[in-house]
Amino acid sequence: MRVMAQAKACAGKILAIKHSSRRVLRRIITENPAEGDSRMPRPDPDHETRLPDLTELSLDQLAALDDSVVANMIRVLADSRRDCADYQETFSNFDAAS
Amino acid sequence: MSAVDLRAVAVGEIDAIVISRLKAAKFSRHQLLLAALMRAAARSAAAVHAATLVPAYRLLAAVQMRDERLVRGLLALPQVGSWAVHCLSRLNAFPGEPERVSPLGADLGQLAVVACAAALRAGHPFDLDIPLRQGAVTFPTLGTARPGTRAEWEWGRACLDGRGGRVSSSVSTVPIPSGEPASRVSGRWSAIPRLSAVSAGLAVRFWLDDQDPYLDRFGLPRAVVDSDGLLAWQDRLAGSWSILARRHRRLAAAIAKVIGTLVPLAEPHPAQPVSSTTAAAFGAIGLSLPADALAMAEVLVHECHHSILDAVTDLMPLTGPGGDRLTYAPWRDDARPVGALLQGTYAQFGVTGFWRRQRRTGSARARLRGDTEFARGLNAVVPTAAELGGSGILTEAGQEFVGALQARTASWQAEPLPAAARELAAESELDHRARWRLRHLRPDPRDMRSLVCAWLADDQPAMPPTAVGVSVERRPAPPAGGSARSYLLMLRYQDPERFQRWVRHDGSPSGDERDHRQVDVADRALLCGNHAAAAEGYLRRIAAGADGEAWAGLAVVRQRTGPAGVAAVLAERPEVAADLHERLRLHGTPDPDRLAAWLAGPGEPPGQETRAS
Repeated sequence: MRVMAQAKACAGKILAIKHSSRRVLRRIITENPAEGDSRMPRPDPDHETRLPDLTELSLDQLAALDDSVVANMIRVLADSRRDCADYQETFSNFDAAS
Repeated sequence: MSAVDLRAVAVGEIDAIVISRLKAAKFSRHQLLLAALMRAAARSAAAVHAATLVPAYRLLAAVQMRDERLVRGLLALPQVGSWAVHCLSRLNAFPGEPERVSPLGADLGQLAVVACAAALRAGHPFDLDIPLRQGAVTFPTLGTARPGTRAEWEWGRACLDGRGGRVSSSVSTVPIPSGEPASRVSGRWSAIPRLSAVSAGLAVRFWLDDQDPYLDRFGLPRAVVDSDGLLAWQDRLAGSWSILARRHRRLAAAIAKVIGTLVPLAEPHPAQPVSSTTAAAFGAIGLSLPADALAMAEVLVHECHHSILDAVTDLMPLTGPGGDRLTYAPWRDDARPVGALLQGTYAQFGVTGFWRRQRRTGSARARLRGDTEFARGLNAVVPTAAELGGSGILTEAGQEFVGALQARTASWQAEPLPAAARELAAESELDHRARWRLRHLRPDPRDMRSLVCAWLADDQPAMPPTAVGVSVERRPAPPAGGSARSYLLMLRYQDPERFQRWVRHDGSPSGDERDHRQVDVADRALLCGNHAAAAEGYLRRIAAGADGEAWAGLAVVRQRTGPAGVAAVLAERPEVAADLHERLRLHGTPDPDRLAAWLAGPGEPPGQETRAS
């Protein structure tokens, strides 16, 4: 049931984005504020979601995103990666120093 | 990602819907990286942005209008992700220390190469500047053109018009074959090879990419694959796929969906296989040519689990701060940060599940291998998952994840295992753990001084060896080639025929270059079952000087011969015995067995044997 509800919610959001102009897209983002940051999409209710869903954006739509929105998203992603040491970037069965 | 999905991933029940979500998340990440890269370049590399990135982006967008799926597939490629991360790191918009072997413009210009690949495949006319490195350019999913250049780096031109596609440099022009490129190989054009297999109605297809510069990110040199090598890779895949598709359906389906590209790596030493996954290049794995079909199946399972967990952690953090404390990972020779245990534990968990199922099939020899691998997997996963659970670094979601994994392995532990498999697994594990402890653990000097004083005063030990404090030191990696003993201990169950050949030759080369290792006489005696000679050899080496390998060998042989107290000390605290031995050299050279028996304390009747040799 939960999966179905999420799928429906996701499909609704995708449809909205597909028919959107830059204005509509910005409204979706700003009307779903994440805690502590009004420009981020709302995270999944079950668990924190680091990434916004950008799967349905065309390259033209991607180019039309506000610089500030992209900068904020990439900051979140970069911060999460900055917290990660090298060992969380490459997973191997050998010592990279060898 | 729901809690239900997270638990399903944790126990390896990964279905197509979950994988689609994870792949969508990775694609979103690529989209975001590309958007950020365009903006960062406009700010700090305006000239390159205007001259290269903007036309390339426009071409990609134009092709997307014609064929959205094609462009989506290209943007989702692992080399696009690693390229974007590399460039953003160079532009300082993303953490990381990128290699600066190429001019920034050439790196950024890779988007033009991706756009050209899209346009070539869509039949969309174009004419674009592209960077050529060392006279060549690799178009993702198509192939490599080598028009040659006068300098290491040069801007060339790629186009598609009524005369077809071609790449031009200051030296020459190379036509790009149209249509299905896989079969086209000429002097200056080589298609990226594809490996494919079908078994039990399930198909898989991988790129075997030894050319793309942005896939050369796995920490070891890539191997160049020639036509004979390609046949070997195809043969391994066919064999492994037959195993996976018929007996491990769910795993096979996950592998086919998650992994799209194999990057061939060079073995650092014969019979020292390597494999790797990198977060920046989701969908690609690096690996050396596996020894056989089972080994390839195991590597695919292992790396697929790394990729899946990496995608999960893009969506939700499973670990928090505090993961830098160094600890033991049973699958690595170096000291690992505890934060890295989650990835390793999950990959080993996947492999253990693979062997759990695999061990039920095949000949007696195949079942023994499966049983032993399963036992080794459990021996590795159970303690590391427990350490993770108590580490304090897991988030709430991480606790859920590890808890589900622990519950699943607990049920596996109840399954019967042949004694022979348990022994083989335990011996390999002991050898590895003892070597690691001797290499990386430093006993507390004050504790050791009190032990020295007690020994010299002919007293009982001031404390049991388990009470001696130890600290972990990050030591340089062991030499390439690893431990011959470790390799041969595994060969006993992985390829018993070859091992027996080796024993029959008394450890001399058997005609197989993989066996041409320098094997110490004590190791040879141990592996040939001559435990008395092995112990004598190890004791001689220890007397000659600090020799961790010899102490670890003695730990293995004393498991066979006893006494039990000595065996226990050498197995559990070899670093304490070895350190004490070194400190007492000034006072004569004590017998290691006597020292270990003293450390074991008075409870142990001298001479008691653990097991008949």
